[in-house]
Amino acid sequence: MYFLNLWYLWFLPALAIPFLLNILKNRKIKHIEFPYYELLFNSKIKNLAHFKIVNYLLLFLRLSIIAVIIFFMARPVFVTKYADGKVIEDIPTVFIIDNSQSMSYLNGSISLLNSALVLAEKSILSLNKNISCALIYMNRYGNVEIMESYSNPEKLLNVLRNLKVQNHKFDVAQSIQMAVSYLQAVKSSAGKIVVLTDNQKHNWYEFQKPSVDKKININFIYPKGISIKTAGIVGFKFPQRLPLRGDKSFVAVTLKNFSDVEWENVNLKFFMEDELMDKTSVTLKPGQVLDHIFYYRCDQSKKFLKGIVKFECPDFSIDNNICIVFPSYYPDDIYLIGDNQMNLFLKYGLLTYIKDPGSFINECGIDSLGSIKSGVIIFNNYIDSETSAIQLKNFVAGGNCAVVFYTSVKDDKNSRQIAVAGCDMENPLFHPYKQMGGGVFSQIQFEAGKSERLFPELEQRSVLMKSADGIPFLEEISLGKGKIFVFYADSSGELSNFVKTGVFVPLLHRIMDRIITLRNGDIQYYNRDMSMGLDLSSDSRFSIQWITPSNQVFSPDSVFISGCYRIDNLPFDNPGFYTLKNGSGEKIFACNISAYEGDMTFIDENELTNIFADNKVSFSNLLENSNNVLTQNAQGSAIFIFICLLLCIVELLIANLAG
Amino acid sequence: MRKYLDPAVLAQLQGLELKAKLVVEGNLSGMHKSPFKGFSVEFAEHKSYFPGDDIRYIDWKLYGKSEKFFIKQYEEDTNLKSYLLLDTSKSMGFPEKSQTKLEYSIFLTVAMSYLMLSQRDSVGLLTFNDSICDYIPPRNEMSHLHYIVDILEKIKPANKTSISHSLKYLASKIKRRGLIILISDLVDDQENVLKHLAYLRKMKHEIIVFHIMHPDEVNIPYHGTVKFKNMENHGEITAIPDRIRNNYSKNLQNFINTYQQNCWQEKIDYHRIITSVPVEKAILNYIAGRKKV
Repeated sequence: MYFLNLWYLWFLPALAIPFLLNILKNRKIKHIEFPYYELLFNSKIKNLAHFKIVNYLLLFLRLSIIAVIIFFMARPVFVTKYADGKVIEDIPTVFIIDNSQSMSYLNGSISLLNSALVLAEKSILSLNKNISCALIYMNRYGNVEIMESYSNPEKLLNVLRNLKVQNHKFDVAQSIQMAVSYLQAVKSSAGKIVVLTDNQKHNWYEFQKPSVDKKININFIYPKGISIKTAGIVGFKFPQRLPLRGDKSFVAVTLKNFSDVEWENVNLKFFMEDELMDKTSVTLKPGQVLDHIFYYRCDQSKKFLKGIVKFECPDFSIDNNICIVFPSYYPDDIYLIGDNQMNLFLKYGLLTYIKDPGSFINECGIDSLGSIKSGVIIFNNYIDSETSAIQLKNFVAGGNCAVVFYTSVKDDKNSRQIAVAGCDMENPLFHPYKQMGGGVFSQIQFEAGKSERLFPELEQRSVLMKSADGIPFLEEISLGKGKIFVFYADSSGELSNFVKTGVFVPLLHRIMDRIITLRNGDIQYYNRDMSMGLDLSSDSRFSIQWITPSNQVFSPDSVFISGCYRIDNLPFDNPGFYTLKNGSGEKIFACNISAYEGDMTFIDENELTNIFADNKVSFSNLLENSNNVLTQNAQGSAIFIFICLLLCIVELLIANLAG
Repeated sequence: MRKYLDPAVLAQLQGLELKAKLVVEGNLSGMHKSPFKGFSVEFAEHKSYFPGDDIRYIDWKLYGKSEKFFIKQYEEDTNLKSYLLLDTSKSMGFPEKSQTKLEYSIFLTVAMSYLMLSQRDSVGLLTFNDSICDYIPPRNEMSHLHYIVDILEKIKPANKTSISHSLKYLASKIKRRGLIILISDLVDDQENVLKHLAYLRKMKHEIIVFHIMHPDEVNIPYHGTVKFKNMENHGEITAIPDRIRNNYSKNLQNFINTYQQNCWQEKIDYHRIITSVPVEKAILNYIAGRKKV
């Protein structure tokens, strides 16, 4: 036996309190010389011996109450047997708990996660507390986290008690890699990894086996003997935003029946803003994959829409409402003007912006410039003729936008490479970089020569990015109803490393967002980077409201981190359409995208044994654990309260009736 | 000012008359009925004779000197001998922190003495605990009161109570019938006390028993755990008064009832006085009760 909260034993001197009270009470006894002693003597019901016995009994009970309270607060742990009857080995152990959505599958009335938690708790308690021990689980953001015990298993038990199912795919590979790293870090000659999971096949897709030391044993504990046939997958195939094109918007859904039974006439419905947009009925054989496209008309005035695909399969036991929330933009046609070779970085940058850009991106020569009436022009050619300049100006002045890669230093022998030193953080383009600071752009280098600017005659311009000596790198020029974003660099990566840096693609995407939204008026917010659209102060405390789909309101306060105030974490719990507001009522829509579960069938034990061929791999049944209650949480508390109450009642009874 | 000779108390008692219910032995020509006549008449003063005055009281010797008729006038009272028995045992020293029963009883004794003396009755005093402390034979002069007070002022509560012993002693001292006033808390063997009282009663003495009790002895107004110590003997008990109050009250009531019944049977005047009642009021109450009888 050992104590989880050993320091509570420091309260043991509190046992002196009843003693002191008893002494004080005895001192407080009044001594009275009384004339009619005989009458009193005859009136007394109990004798002095009885009185003393009662006193000592009360003292004992009061001591017991305090002792019991201290004892239970110190959380005694009695080393128990493991589920299969063996005492767990005293070697460093890492428990990996899969808390993905599929672990909420109910086996009878108990979820798989609950069984896993109980088993993990039992195992942790059975370990010698001085043995290195850790727990790996998935947090609400879908990231795998590790919690080390540091000789205090209570930390792990607390995590277990609060562990919930998360709507994300559990990354087994990363978890095992993390466990291996931990075991290597504790420099033990041997180690053990206990994986409590439903062992679905989809967890192992694209699994890259980590290098696991031969001395590490791996124990997979999964629900043997049950067949989760009632779960499946709903996937989506669409760009990362819902494109609105004319009146026809669409979302493509991919269905795959991973179960071994046929889904017959399953209703599939698509809702937008709670309005049924389209529905269909599908039949899928086991293993069959089906693509379906929902077409719908979307209100173009809305830039953020909530869509839900409802999969009405009566056999499904897990949530089959998949929420999709993306900003809905009317996509413009994009014209890449210039040499194809020079378009290479731009094209692939845009490909990641729109996954299916086939119908939107047009590559054309400079000759076609005059014929383009609307859309977005990305100009990467030298503007060496007056005609091209006029055509570009006319295009922009007509209410369009253009991105121009312009450099005038091609033949300038005095040019030099300089770095970008800062940017206009107040511009919405750079909101995502607020937390990182302007230094993130310092990796960009560009050729600076005579500093000739594009269209110097246009006065409505602002420098968005510049070097330390003020030479502009990115300018925003307003012309008529449109804007031109000018990068003073080439798009081929010869004179500037800009297109080869990590900031190129995100910045290009943000410029595209900016341009698209400018078409429908100057919008205030973006949700691409979450929480970046609100005008929140970074140099003073602020608070926001986080409103969930069920209209629950949370008010996370800003914290001072890394030199500025910001919200550290937002409570992303469930998929849905959230609203983020600041005090003045300014608001932004944010989404939390549902993750999906994959193939629910179990991975074969032989397959796992082969993956970890160098290690000793064992398998146990998660469902063999008969105890389904977290002992420390429920039973322990109940016993504790019962004993305390019992002692208190007895104390009160004796104190009041035994006088 | 003397401690126990409170003019306020004594003023309240002026003019009151203590009537002996029973015939007492003595030269009674005033308030008290007496079987003896023309005895123990004491000269007081002369007054001029007027027609109609009893010529038997003409002072002929004075007529021989002055050739004028004067009538002799006499004191007509002082035919009752009363004995005040004051218990000075340790139990009379209760309570410790406020006016004790003994202090109260001394006031009562002084007041009663004054009352008797103002009626020209003789007053004697006997203080006792387990033995006789002081005995002052009865006298009827007012100056006797100061002597009594002198004695009382020196009294301190001590020793056990032996009422029977004092009663026996008094019986041996009294030759004629008189009034015996016992002032005590009666913390003694009840049977023995009653037996000796009855004995004195058989000797035709009139007996008044003032049973002095402190309110705390009646109510035991204590809370929590209390260790009660016997005041006159060894022994102590620890008790919670709230728990035993009812039983104690019953026992006390029985104790008092026994005295009341036995005294009533023996025609002894039993009167319980709670020390919270002022002395003068207690005496007035008592005398008022006597007049009704």
